[in-house]
Formats: sequence, structure tokens, C-alpha cells
Amino acid sequence: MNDLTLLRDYGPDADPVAPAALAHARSELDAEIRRARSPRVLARRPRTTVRRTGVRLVGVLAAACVALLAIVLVADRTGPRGAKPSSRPGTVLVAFQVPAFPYSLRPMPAGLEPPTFDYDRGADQGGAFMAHYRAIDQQSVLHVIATHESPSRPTSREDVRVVRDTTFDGHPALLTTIRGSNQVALAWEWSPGQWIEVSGDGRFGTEAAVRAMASRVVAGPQRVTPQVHLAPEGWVLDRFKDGTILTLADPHNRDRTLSVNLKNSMAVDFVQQSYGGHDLQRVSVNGKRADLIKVDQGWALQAPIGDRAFELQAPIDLTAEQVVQLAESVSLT
Amino acid sequence: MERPPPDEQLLAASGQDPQQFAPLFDRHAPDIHRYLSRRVDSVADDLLSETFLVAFRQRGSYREAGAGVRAWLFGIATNLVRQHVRAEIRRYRALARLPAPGPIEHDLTERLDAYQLRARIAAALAELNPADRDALLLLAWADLSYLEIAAVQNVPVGTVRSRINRARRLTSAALAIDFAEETT
Repeated sequence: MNDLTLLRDYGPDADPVAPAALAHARSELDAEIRRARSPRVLARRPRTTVRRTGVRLVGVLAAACVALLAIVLVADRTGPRGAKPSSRPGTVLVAFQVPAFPYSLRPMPAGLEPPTFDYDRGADQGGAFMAHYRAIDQQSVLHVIATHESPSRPTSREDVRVVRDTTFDGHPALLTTIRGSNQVALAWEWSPGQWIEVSGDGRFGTEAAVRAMASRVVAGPQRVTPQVHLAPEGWVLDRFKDGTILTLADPHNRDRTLSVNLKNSMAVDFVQQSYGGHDLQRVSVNGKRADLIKVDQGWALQAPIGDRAFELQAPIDLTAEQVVQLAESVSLT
Repeated sequence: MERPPPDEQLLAASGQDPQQFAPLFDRHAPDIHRYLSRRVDSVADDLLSETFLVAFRQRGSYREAGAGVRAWLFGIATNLVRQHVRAEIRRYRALARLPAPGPIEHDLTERLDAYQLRARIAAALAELNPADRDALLLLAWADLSYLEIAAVQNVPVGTVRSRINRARRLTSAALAIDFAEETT
């Protein structure tokens, strides 16, 4: 019996939930729902962001209560292709380029903030690259998604999606709406095996609006941050989020990862506060003082970058020198 | 028989039709309450209600990012527990001081072992730092994966591994058992 089993079996007990407690909590939620359905509250729609999911259309439209316009693009596989998995020990670092988001909107619609980007390689390793354009008034969002997969279709009558076959720019396309909402998504096959979805709501939540935005999608790479310019040979981009977390992974073992996490400043007590690691080393990263420690299954390094800082986590089979090399390859541009 | 719509669909639809959010409560409230009750039993009922109110109000900012709606709800519940960390630690310390079993039955040894285990586990939980404890209990009691925990704690998965391994090492030491590293 291991510690997790003991924790589950002999940890503090949970009192059975009383039906009255459940009913009370449900009634409070119901009251909140009723208030939200009133016209006054609906007029104050909360700020919404986008999520990425296997069911991309629904994922994009999950940001339902906010007016969003999104374009979803399927990305090329990222990172070095066809390379053999890194061997241990003796991992070799090679040049790496975090891929750019492959599309742009031209001309850029007025009244939108600069886009943010997400990438997730996903369980199927097909990957989805997303750009999110939020309206300055926070009432509308547009999403552009790149993916290798065609949109899924409803599988039951309870599915809230309504999907219609159509055409766009001479290509077969799918137009999806969400029942009871003003959210619309248009997906078409940009090139063989490359799908683009453009979706949105608010002022972008009509078929005419998403078609107009889709017509502005052009091949035009947009760089994402942070960047790392070295990686273990054969590794691929696994995910990044909002330009704050970047993770590369061994394609044959997703548990072997290398992460760059941007943060506002250096942790004062890096060892105790963050990891409880050991063997703290003061190192130099691009001429600036940095902290390097050994942790449970790898290395952790923190270093300043611009007016901020970043934390690098790397597997233990790399040498300290390689970790510093990786850190020196991190950039914001 | 039609399959019920997935959580993500309900959440998406609730943006325009808030009533669509209600089934999420019916699906997940018992599990969330069980988790809360193990951590902060005295305020579990209140935090259950608060969890779903917060989730409903923040449903527009939901993003999967590697985790689903269930993990997202546990993340909200965990953040709320953080506001009651003193109550949580008091609970663990009180459990660690509970008197030994009274009238002895035939399974004396077994009962004493169980009593000692419960006390040691409670004492160990009280000593963990909050971030480590959150990660460990999201794994052990909420059955979230490392990736899901990383998503709800908004940290790299390597940080989750470090937190959980450190927490498990400390609890294993308190239980005087070998720590067998495990990745999920």
C-alpha cells in the first residue's frame, strides 16, 4: 500500500453531503441563474476568453457569454521533424525555432486588440494553433484556429451545435451555430489536410461577419513569445499559453518536458519557495546572475529577461552547462 | 438512449442560456463536496455553494488549456479552500490529536494501526506548504492528472511534479513508509 492509497483510505473522512446542503447550494445557483437571465444583467456581459478543445468549434464557442470573434487555424507540425528521440544519457542540443502562428488578418479589423496565441499538441499530436482577437470594448472576440482535423459534427439530438454544409472561397466548408446563441463558426479546408476555422460572437456572431473575417485570412506568420532557440534533438513544441508558458516535449515520452515560464520577477528564495531543491548554483545567463538548482526530476533555473524573469525547467539527464545554454537561448523576440 | 451533452457544450450554451449551467451542478456537486469536506468540513457546505457561484460568474473566462470542466471546478474549489487555510490546518491538527479508540474489540491491532495512520496523515497534511498540499490533494482526492493540476494551478507540469513529489516524500516520511515515485 503506497502513500497515495493510504491518503485516500486513511486521510480525513468526508462527511456525507446532506441533501439539504445540496439543495441549498443548488437553490443559490438557481437564483444566480435567474438574475443572469434578466435583461439588465445580460447587458453586462462578462469578458470572455477562448479555450482549445478536441471539439474545436464547441471549444471556441465555449466562450459563449462574451462576444468573441475567433479564427482557428491548423498548424503545421512544430519543431524538428523526423528526428529520432533524444537518447539518454548524452542528450544533444540542436537549433530550435518555436513556430510562428501561420496566418494573419489583412486588413486588420478596426477596434481589435493585438492577438494572443495558444498552442496545444493534443493527445493525437495533431496540434491546434489558435489566435484570439479581442475587441477593445471587450464585447466581442474573434478566433482563428489552424488544425489538421475537419470539424466534428453533432452526434446526438442534444448537441447544441447545428452544422450546415456550405462553401467558402470555392472550398467545401462547414458553418456551425450554437442553438440559443449568436455564435457562428466557419471552417474550410485551406489546403489538403489544413483546416481553418473562424468563429466569433457579439458583433462577429453572424454568418456574414465570420465570412467577412474569413476573407481577411492570409498566409502571414506572426511570432509568438517566449522563444527558445535550442532544444534536445528531436523534441517538439508541446504547448504554450498566452505567451507565458512554453513547453517542449520528447515526442516519445510526454512526461519528459522542458518548460519556460515567464514571471514578473526573480523569486527571492528560489529554493525554498519554489522547489525545495538542493545544490543551488549561481550561474550567469547572458551576463546576468541566475539561479540553478537540482529538483526532484530535473533542473530549475531562474534568470532575468528584459524587465521580467523566467523560470526554466529541464530534465535531469541534461548537464548543468546544457541547462544554462538553453536558458541563454530564451528570448522575448 | 441519447448521451447527455458533454460539460463543455453545456458551459458553452450557458453563455447565452444560463439555465444550461445547472446540470453541471448536478453532475459534479457531490464530488466537489466530498473533496471540500475532507479538507475543510466545517465550511464545506458554504464552499460548495460558493464554488458553483464563482464558476457560473466566471464561465465566460473558462478555457480548457489541458483540463476539462471538472478539473476547472476543482481548481475553483481549491482556490476557495486557500481562503480557509487556517481552518483546514486546525482540522488536520485536531484529527492528529484525536484520542485512541475506546472499547477494544477483537481487531485491536488493526484499529490501532488505523488510528495511528489517520493521526499521522492528518499531522503530515498540516505541515505541508499550501501549494504542495493543493497539488497532492488534487491528485489523491480529486483524481486529477498532473496535466490537469498544472492547468488549474497555472504552472508548468514540472512544477506540479516537484510539488507532488515533495509532498509525497514528506507524508511518506511521516508514515514511515518508502516513497515510491509515481507519475500520472
